[in-house]
Amino acid sequence: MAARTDYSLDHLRGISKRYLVVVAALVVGALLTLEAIIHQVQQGLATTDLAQQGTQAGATWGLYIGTFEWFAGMAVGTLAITGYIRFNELDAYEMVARIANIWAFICGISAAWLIVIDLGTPHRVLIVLSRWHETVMHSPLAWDVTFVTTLLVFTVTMVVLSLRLDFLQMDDDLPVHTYAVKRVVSLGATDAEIPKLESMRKWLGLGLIVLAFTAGMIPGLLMGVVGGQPGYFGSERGMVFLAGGLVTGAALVTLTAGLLRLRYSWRDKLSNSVMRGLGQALTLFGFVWLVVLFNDVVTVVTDMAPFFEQRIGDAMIAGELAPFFWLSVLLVAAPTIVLAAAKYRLGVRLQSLAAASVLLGVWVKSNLTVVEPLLFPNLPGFTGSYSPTLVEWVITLGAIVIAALLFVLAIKIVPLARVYKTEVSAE
Amino acid sequence: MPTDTSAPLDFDEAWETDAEERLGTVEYDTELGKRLGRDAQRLAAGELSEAEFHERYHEEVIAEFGVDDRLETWTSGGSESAWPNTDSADGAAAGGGGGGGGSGPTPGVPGGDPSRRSMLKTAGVLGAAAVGLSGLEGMAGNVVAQDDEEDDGDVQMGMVIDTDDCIACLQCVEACSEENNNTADALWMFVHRYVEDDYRDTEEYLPRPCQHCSDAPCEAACPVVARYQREDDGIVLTDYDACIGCRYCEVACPYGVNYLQWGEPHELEEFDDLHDIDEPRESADGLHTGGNPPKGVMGKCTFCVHRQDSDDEELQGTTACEEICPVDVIHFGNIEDEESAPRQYLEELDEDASTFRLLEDRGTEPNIVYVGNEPSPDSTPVEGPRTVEDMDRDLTRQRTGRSPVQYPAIGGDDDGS
Amino acid sequence: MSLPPIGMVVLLVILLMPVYVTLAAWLFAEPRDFRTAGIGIVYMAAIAVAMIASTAALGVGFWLIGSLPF
Repeated sequence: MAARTDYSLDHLRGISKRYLVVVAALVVGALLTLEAIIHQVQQGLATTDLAQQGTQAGATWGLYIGTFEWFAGMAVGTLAITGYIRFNELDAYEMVARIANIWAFICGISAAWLIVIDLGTPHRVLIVLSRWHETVMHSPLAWDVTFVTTLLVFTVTMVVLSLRLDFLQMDDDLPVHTYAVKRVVSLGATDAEIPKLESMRKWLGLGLIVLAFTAGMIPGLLMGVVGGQPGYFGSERGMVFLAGGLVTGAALVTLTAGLLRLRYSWRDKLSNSVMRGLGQALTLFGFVWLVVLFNDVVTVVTDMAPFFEQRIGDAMIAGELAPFFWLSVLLVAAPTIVLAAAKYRLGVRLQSLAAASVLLGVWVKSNLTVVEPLLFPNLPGFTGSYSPTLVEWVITLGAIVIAALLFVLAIKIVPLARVYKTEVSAE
Repeated sequence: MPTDTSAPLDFDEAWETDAEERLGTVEYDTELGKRLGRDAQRLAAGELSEAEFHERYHEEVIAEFGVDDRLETWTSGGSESAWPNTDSADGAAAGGGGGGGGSGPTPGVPGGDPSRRSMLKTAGVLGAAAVGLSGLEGMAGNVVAQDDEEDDGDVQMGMVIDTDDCIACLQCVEACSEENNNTADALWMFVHRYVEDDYRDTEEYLPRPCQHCSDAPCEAACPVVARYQREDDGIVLTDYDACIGCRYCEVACPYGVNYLQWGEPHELEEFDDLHDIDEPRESADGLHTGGNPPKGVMGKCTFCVHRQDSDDEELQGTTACEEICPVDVIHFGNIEDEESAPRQYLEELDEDASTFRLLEDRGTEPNIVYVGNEPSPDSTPVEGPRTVEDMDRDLTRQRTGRSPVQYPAIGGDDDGS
Repeated sequence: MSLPPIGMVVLLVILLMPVYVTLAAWLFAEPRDFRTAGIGIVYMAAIAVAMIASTAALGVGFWLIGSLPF
């Protein structure tokens, strides 16, 4: 491991062998995913194992929507983290804010394209826009589209605004591709606007927080408000989603910060106290998620729950879905408890591992949430089954690979924090 | 107050008071509402031409509601529209049977635009405007009903299905698939087999087409207004050219009637060869709504919409499943009309006969009425064929690579009760 | 008196709330500087247009993929 160093823009310069290998591997994964997407778009959703629930004993939605929920949740979580740091002007966490900000955008994009892939006729996505003015009045899916668009706009705006401010306070000594970014975000920028920009960044931070906690619930609650399936009538659907988003968002940022610190040893921007702060957030949200999950499950296992809800509860607690359910609980609960017991002083490696475990655990549960009610129809029918096909697995894992690729590329272009000018400009 | 159809309409003080009371409950112009309501009835009675009526109110309606949605309902001659009085004028021209077909009497109105009930529910201020308009509907509707005995306002196609008599021969399933040229796994008509958790252990059957709900959750869920309930006759349809295949309607529907076309559909020519029906995939709205849907698009029972819109009067008012049923379980027709087959069937039932609508507590207002006992939530599905083809072969699911269907044990305790 | 459609409430109250908060604060919070705020709003609007346009482009892309002669 490298010695204690301060943040510099070195990560933007030069291309190491290691970096090339990582990018090449990710590009191969992305191309494989693209092939799977082309295959599916041409053959239709018949290449998936999805089927009509009930009469054909299948599940209507599967891996794509589950992963969509996971990505959308992470987008909301990272959005909230960015907003919280920016609104409270926690300068010690400025790099964390940038990391979370970039992830919020990438997760939003990933969620968006996954949902389009899951359409029977993906090329008609334009119709969603052209009829939006009418459908937004009643269709929760139209609200969701609105939310995701707003999220993307807000996250990019935050990147642009905060970079504009950073560049004003930094030397011009930038690699050429980063300089190009500077040119784009700095149109008409002058030193005189620094105080106003700081204020705007702060208030946009509040905007991000509001967005996360209001509209951020929508990808979850859209199943509850019109869902005709057992288990989709939970009035806590939006909260479950939000809790999952916060914990995965915290986990994603913790994992990324951990990996960056292992790689670059930036002890000033990713100090021990910052890493512990992230561990603390992860622990807090981990417990919140477990509490919400308990409330979610308790409604379906009591005798007072409607019959169909009980069948789902039984399948999850002790039936065919039990392995998945308990796996997700274990993957979140174990690291959360260990982190708490160690008072967030696990060390960077173990903390990163804990974060990865949480990410996986919530991903499993996201899929359960989408699939499980569809396996138990309202009318006497067949208990469904669903095993994703190779195409589905490639596209789903590929979505994660592509997200990672986008992030790895982003940190070659975008500075993650400020490197102050050697001479502090007089204000 | 029975009104003599030949006498000029009379709007007395009581009518005014009543109108004011009704209209006072919404935030729109009461005075305009009154005048509209009055002249709408004159229009219905033939005292006023449509052109005159339209000219008189177009600008005022736009000023008050932001849009004049009457044009929409106008072209289709929609009898469920907020303007039932246009129906008697238009209906005569169109020849009934839900023909309408975009050739409305008002010149200059863009044709081919579907007339949809949901339009009134949506598009901003219209949501509230609908309340104002439906107030008028109530007022005008009474008179129309009295005026015109042949056409008493609403047309709502629906079915009465007698589950007591069903023998699960699956002829309806077969006929439906053939009529609509559906792929093997799209069972728009499905026959549920189940036993109740009681001493009898007799197998019971429940044929399940789309319920064509009046408050259809699939319609509200659709993010592209592809799913809609037709003005003409209350049939719930899918616009195949707009549907994006998100399957949110399927998740929203508690009955499980939606079937996505996962792969390529059958060739269309085949459909034409089999049936002597003009443009079988077109409905009166000029939209793609009937027959098997294209790849990636949602399909479901359309109440054989191509028959309803056919020029052949023999086919109007019939469905393939109804026609084939050997035990006369399915009765299809306008359930608003007392003379219709389904209403007549209900009329002739014993007084203590049990009838129900499926999952009525969901508030979907289904338009299928079942005769017999409602399946309880803890009824157990029973193994059995789902298509006529199934009857001669192994019961595995038809899509390749799928695991066998799971059947819960009858009376087993894995049901959580 | 009837309630407006649920989507109207969701759109105006929930979905657009962060937009109100941000724009109001940009314009009126101290220090006031309409030039910088204006630039910020122009950036945001441009990004919004770009996002919607890229969704449309996505549709065209899938249409092309779907009609590739394989």
